[in-house]
Formats: sequence, structure tokens, C-alpha cells
Amino acid sequence: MENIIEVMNLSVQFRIIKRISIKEWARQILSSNRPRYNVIEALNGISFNIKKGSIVGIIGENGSGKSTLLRVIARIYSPDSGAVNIHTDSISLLSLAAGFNFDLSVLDNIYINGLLLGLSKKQIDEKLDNIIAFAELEDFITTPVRALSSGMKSKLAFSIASHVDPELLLIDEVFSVGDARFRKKSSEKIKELITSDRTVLMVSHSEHLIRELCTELIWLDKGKLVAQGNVNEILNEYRAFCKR
Amino acid sequence: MINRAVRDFQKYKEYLIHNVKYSILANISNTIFGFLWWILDPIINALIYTIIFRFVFRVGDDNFPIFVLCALISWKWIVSTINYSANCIKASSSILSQVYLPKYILPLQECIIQFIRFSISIGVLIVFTFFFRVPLSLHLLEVVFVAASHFLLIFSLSLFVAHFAVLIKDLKNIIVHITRVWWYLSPGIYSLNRVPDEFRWLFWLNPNTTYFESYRNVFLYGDNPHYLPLIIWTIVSLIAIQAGLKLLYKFDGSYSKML
Repeated sequence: MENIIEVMNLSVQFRIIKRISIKEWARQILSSNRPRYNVIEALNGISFNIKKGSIVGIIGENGSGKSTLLRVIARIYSPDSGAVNIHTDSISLLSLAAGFNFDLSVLDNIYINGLLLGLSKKQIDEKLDNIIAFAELEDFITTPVRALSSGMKSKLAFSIASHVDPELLLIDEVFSVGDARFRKKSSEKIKELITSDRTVLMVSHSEHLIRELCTELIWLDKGKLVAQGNVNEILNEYRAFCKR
Repeated sequence: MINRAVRDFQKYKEYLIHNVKYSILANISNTIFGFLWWILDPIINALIYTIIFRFVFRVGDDNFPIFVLCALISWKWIVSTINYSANCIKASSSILSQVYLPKYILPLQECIIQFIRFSISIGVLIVFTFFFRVPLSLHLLEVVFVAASHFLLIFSLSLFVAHFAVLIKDLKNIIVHITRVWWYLSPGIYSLNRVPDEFRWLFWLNPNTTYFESYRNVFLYGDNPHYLPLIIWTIVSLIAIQAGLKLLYKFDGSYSKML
């Protein structure tokens, strides 16, 4: 099988709050020595390949760079050094925080989000009923998103993102959306998305789900790649590591 | 760089069209007068200047409101675009942390929205010329060239504003003052003829002079726009657009890390 993702020596840094006032900016320009940034290494020298069609889990403690890695692969963050080659244009990131225009209605936001996620207007027309039905927002189509509850917003975000049929699906801990009933529905939807043959990268803290779904595992710690490979072996090591 | 921008434009064209449409609709439906604000704003401004200049200072002629409106509506286009561009990347931060979007699409979107607003104001202006019995000529059609060139200039400005507004947090405050000075240094409420001869060349370094005077020529004086300066500003704008696109692409994946 050919590789769909090739990551070589990837590093990503965050320069914390680098928005500055004009005074500081002028000072920076006038003085030759650039100020030292408060740099956080989110990812540090990571290399791995992922084959087409595999389902890869990503584990690691909070702040280990899991979400950052997904965002780099989704082209939202650019690498500060190293290279990321992705052999597809059809990528979609499913996560809890959705990008909505709060003043616009649910319907308008479905179109805008769908278009941003790479669907065409025609495809959205076709999927519209399903998206609304899945999000259970039939009665709120013309409501501005601002007026929705936070649960409704995440249901909507999940519903839109899960109706995009990407070749490469990135899932960032979306297994706990909404109430218990919707949670069940959404994890079934995710399983459906995963089992139809596409490449999936999923961040999860649920050992149960990882064992059930993943064919491969990547373990990150403090921005570094600890291990990649067999699910059970790495999970056991990871569990031992967490008990330290 | 231009190739990449064109490719991205095709890819995000549908998004752009929808977003422009929805932004305008949201803007209209969220305010009581809605769409009327777009027309009222330049008219009220023109009224104020007319009262001050015609009745208090007793300068200008009967067509003074048209004279001022020609400058005011095009100025409004520039200022609104700049102000919105200063906020556009930050305002979209929730979307930008979720999906990839070439950043130049955001200021471009503001330029298009404000251009539509400008077009409506042009309609109001034409109604006013009937009202003031200004004879319209075929030169009116040449407004297309002026507006096209003006669009490029505004787009180039919006790219740089959008970029630096992310890096510098009080840029918005500075813009307010810079634009105010810029307006009074432009022949908006006075004619270029009133400027002493020895300083007049300085005014041509200000793009507003070219555009204000060109709009006046086609709407009020039935004359050609100033084609030579228009061509020069178009070339300058195209170079600036290329530089601006390069800048935005260079930081494309970094803005969302800074927000």
C-alpha cells in the first residue's frame, strides 16, 4: 500500500501572544537585536508515514501535541521546520470547536461550513436534509447560530463535518458530543465513517474505542514521538507510563 | 504566487460568493433600517458638508452636494474596507482554527462587500444628479474603468492592513487617525483648483486625488477620467497586490497560531 501521509522531522512552535503594540513594534524595527520569543515547542522532530486505508489512533497526555498534529495535517498550521506530504486534497477535521458565523442562520452556516470543508453547493443541496435531521435541528433552521445552546452547536458541527466524505478523516476527540442519546448516535456515525474504506487519524482517550477501531497507534509525549505500531503493545506501554 | 492565488480563488469561489451574500443579508436584517443605512450614510455626510460650506462659509456652487458626494462615496469605500480588513482575520479565528482557508480570501471578501455598497451609492448619486439637473453624458460609462482601478488599489491596501492588524494590536486605533488626516489632505470637500499651484503636484502623489477628480469628471463635468494617473495607480496597485499576496501566503499557516 502507498503512503497517504509522510511526515519528516516535523516541528511546530507557538510564539505566545506575539501581537504587539505599535510602540514595541517600532522599537523592534529600530533595534537590531530581535526580541526573544516565548516559544513553545508543540511538536519536535516528528517523523512517520501512514499508509492509505489505515486507521491510526493518536494517544498521549494533555498538551502532548495531538491536536496540533491533526491541525498540521489539515493544513491549518504550517510546519516551522520539516516537511509534511499529504497525497490527497480531500481532508476533513472533525472536532468539537466549530467555526460558525454566529449572526447567520443554521441553514446559512451549513452552506458556508460545507463549502469550506470542500463540498460543492450541489453536494450540500443533496445532503442538506440529512445534515439537519442528524443534528436534530429541524425546528431551528432559520434561527441564528448565536441563539443555539452549546450542545446544539456541537451537534450541528458534528453533523456537518461527518457528512463530508473525505479521503482523509481527522477526528479530534468528538466522541462525547451532546446528550447520552446523541452520543450513541454519533459514535455509531463515526464507526460508519471509519469502516468505509478511508484513512482515519483519531485522537482519543478511550482505550476501548482504540482497541475496537484502530489498526495502528501513535504515541506522543511532550511533542515527541514515543512509539508507532501495534495497538496492544503500545497501549500496554502507555498504561504503564501513565501509572508512573 | 499569482498562480496559487488564482487556483485558490477558483477553489473557494463558491464559498466567497455565499459568504458575501450571507454577510450582506445578515448586515441588512440585523438593523432596523437595514439596507437604508447604506444610502443614508453618504447622504447625511454630504448634507453636513453642504450646510457648513454653502451656508456658513458661503463657498462652492449649486452642485456642491454632488461634488462632495463623488468624493464621499468612494472615500467611504476605502475606509470601510480598511476598517473591516483590520479585523477580518481575527474575526474569523474560530473558523480558521478548524479549516484551511487561504487568508487573502478574507480581505477580498470585504472588498467585494464594500464594492457592492459603493455600487448602490453610485445609484443614489445618479438619482441626485437628476435632482440637481446636472446633465449626464456618455462619459458616465467610463466610471467602470475608474472603479476597476480603484478596486485594485483598495484590495492591495486591504491585504497589508489584514496582515499587520494580526501582528500589531493597536493598528486599528492608528488607522482611525491616519484615515482622518488622509481625508482632509485629499481634495474631497475642496477642489484641487483651490490648492496653490506650487503644491498641486504633491496632491497627485495621493491616490485619492486621481480617483476623486476622476469620479467628478464622469459624473459632474462630463469629461474623461484622468487616464494617465489611473494607469499609473493601477500598475502600482498590481505590484502591491502581488507583494501583499506573497506576505499573506508566507504567514498563511501562522496566523491561527498567533490568534
